[in-house]
Amino acid sequence: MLRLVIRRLAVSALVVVVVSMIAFSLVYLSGDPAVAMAGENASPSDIEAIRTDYGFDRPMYVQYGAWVDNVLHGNLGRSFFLRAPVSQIIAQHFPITATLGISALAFALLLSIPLGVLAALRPNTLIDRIALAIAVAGQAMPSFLFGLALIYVFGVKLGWLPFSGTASWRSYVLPAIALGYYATPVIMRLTRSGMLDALQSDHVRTARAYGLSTWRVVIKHALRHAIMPVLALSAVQLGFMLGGSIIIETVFSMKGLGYLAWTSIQRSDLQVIQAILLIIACLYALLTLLADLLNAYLDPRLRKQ
Amino acid sequence: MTPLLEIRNLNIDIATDHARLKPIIGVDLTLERGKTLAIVGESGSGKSLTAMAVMGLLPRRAQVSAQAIRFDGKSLLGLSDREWRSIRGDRITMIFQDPMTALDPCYTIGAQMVEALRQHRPMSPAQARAHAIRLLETARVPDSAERFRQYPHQLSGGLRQRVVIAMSLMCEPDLLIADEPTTALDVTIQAQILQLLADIQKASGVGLILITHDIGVVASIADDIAVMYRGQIVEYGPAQALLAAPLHPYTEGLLQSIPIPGRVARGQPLGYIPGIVPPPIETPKSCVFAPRCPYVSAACRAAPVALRSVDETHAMRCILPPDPSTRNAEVWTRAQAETAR
Amino acid sequence: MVATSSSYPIEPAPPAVTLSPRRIALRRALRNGSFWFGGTVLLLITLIALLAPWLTPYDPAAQNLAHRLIVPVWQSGGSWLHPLGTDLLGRDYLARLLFGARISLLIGFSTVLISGFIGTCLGMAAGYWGGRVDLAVNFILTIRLTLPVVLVALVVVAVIGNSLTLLIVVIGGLLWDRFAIVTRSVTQQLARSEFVIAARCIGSSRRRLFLKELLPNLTGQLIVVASIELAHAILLEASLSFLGLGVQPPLTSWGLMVAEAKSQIFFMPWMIAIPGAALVLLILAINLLGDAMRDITTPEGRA
Repeated sequence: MLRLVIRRLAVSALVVVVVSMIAFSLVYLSGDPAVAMAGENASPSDIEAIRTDYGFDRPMYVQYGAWVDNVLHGNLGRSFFLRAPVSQIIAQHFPITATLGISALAFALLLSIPLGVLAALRPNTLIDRIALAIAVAGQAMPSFLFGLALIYVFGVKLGWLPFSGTASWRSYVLPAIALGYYATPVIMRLTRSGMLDALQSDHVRTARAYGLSTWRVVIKHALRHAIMPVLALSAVQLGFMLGGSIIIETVFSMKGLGYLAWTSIQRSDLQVIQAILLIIACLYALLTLLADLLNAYLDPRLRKQ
Repeated sequence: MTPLLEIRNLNIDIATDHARLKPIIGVDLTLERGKTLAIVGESGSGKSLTAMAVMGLLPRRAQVSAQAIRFDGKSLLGLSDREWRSIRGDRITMIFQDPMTALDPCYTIGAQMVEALRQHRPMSPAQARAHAIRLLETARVPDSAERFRQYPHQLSGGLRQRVVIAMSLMCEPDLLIADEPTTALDVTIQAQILQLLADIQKASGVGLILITHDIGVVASIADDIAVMYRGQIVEYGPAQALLAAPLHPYTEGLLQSIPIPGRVARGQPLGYIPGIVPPPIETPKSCVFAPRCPYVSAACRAAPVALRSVDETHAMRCILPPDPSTRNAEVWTRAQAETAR
Repeated sequence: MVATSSSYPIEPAPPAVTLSPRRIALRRALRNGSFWFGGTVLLLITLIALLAPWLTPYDPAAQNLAHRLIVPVWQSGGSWLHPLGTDLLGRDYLARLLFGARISLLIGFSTVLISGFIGTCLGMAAGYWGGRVDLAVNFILTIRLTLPVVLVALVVVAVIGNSLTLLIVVIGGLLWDRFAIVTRSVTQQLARSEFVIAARCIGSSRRRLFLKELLPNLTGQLIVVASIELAHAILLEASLSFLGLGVQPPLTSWGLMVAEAKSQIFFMPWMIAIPGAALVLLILAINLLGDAMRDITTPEGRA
């Protein structure tokens, strides 16, 4: 088990290193970052000031090295636009995105897993067809559209829930649904197919042959096996949600990390952009690592590897 | 005394998307307490389905109809889910062919045994553990306390089958059904497992139904043998009599295809029954074995054959006279030669 | 009674009727409801996209501030002059809808070609050579999967400057992962299969091997993946356009239409619903078609 963990950590670390290089250098695609940051009405002396201030006159690898050094010491740079340390700004915005992401995943799981299990228990019946219809419909709608539809129905017409800002927990309901439902079809399908296989397996037959209650058979012996790929998938989906929250945060006017990324892109606040790309990618790498380790814990056979 | 298990006129129909299958037609079986019945047949003969019907484990699409399926006098037809769950694992238990996949790999074998035990008996975890370990010892599992804590993948195939057997005996069932318990095991282990089953049966008096495709396996352990072909019982009788003088051509074919050292000369081809088991689609309009029978005549193909008693304990489904002298092992060699051409 | 050879027939097997794989696939396709629905809708939208200039007299980019925010024909005050009304800048909505189809399909198909090419090359290399090549491709794949697609696309487009070509290149350069994964696993299986080994034994050049032996067997799976990625590409473009960093005016995109209509959600919700419904219909058709292709190309039926 320990060997497995160490090997996975090493691979993750390498991935993070390469991703950090990408995150760092992406903003340099514009050619001259100083020009981008200074904006349209800047004078040559303004641009020069930015260049020396931020060290853009140094070679790329030196800049990258300095950046990595800073990051490892917790310093994510200084936002040109907001005149504040990037880490501080991100710390302010991150909790909203984190809450949104986790709520969205929770919604997706609470909807998909029971649906998937029920669909597998009664394949080709009404519940199965309903689940399938939800899956098909869910995959066809862009999240921004679904968000707007939710706002219209529940916010405007029915007035049940708020649809902008983050005043109370209620403000997170509609955004969580809008962000989470896109993962629902894929989680539900995976649960359903995993359950169908598990229910046909020999050890489930044994469990039935010993008269174990349906709950035990379905949850302890079938779902336990079917859930493994679902967990890995959930971690991946959470990663997507964190990356894709920018759209939902825009639609619902929530000041989270996605919103910050969006405004920073518009203002060419390069340090913030670099930091956000790095953080989200690292979170994703961490989530997939957790998923793999969780899989290993659940299946004793995998621990040997 | 009421027989332990009585099956009268069991029919199973399965409706699939393409056809209506009739894998079991008119099966009658009886098992007395403390006896061993072997059900023998090729794959596709329906022997496993019969066992599943007794356990109530058939798929939803399968329709069971029978004049009677009685266990200890009580009917097993039309039982509710709850009634089935109280019988399975407690009064009737079943062990399956592949010990490698029979147990859940995510839980220790001890956990699974205790779970099954406490489903049927009010016991504390400690009592259940002690009971389970005792049974592992009965099944001759060495280091039983150690094995109790292990996961299935840590045990060899033979050991796993012993665990499965131990598990099946936990609630002291009246009937144990063993579906091909040795097929997936090495030949040397096969003998050990069969001996274990025989010893257990003698010691506890449990009724044993042994299902196998290998007629050679049952000689020492069975009291009665039922030979199945294409969903029907084609011969039924006391083990010794049946094996010594098989009456139905299929039984004869099975026996002559066992490679016994000394009987088959070196360099000679092994015996077999030419042809394959027909698919279970239609109700038979002739003798089911006619296409492969070396004794076949026009009468065999004209109408289905009923099971007729030869004496009180022996029955066969063939129009040939029940006289061993009319059977000739040579016909098999000739039939094999024909098909080889 | 002893049998003679004439009375010992083994019943003959029924004569086998073999159809070519293509005919089998065609038969299955014609029986599949999703195939009909998805295929028909996609075909229809493609036709509309191709014929758009002839289907409407209006220029989708022509502003006419005197006629802004006219309601659609089914509302009071609407007229057949502008069947779907006009938007904030007086542009005919129906024209914008029709021309939006062009952009969606153009971007969709172009990006699938690019991502398909990248992914298939990487996947075949990894599956065929294995070993270090496989490790390298896996590493690249992991990198790609770790990057947040929407954010990266936004940054690149914002930083370099927007153009349709750039958009296509960026989306195509990001959505190749599934192609690579599927191609890799299929190539792995095929590379070990007998006919490939046979081809190598007779000395087929590697290029011939790839083109003649491996690729034709991949097509079934590739079509399925292509349909999935087509849907993804169209969704990504719509999302980027919604955020303002996708398709730029004077070009029209359904995502852009939704963004522009966002402010009118309270009073004129149809302005969002119409392009939205078009998007959903297109994606749904592509998804159903993809499902149908999957069912057609796999021999085993669904559970």
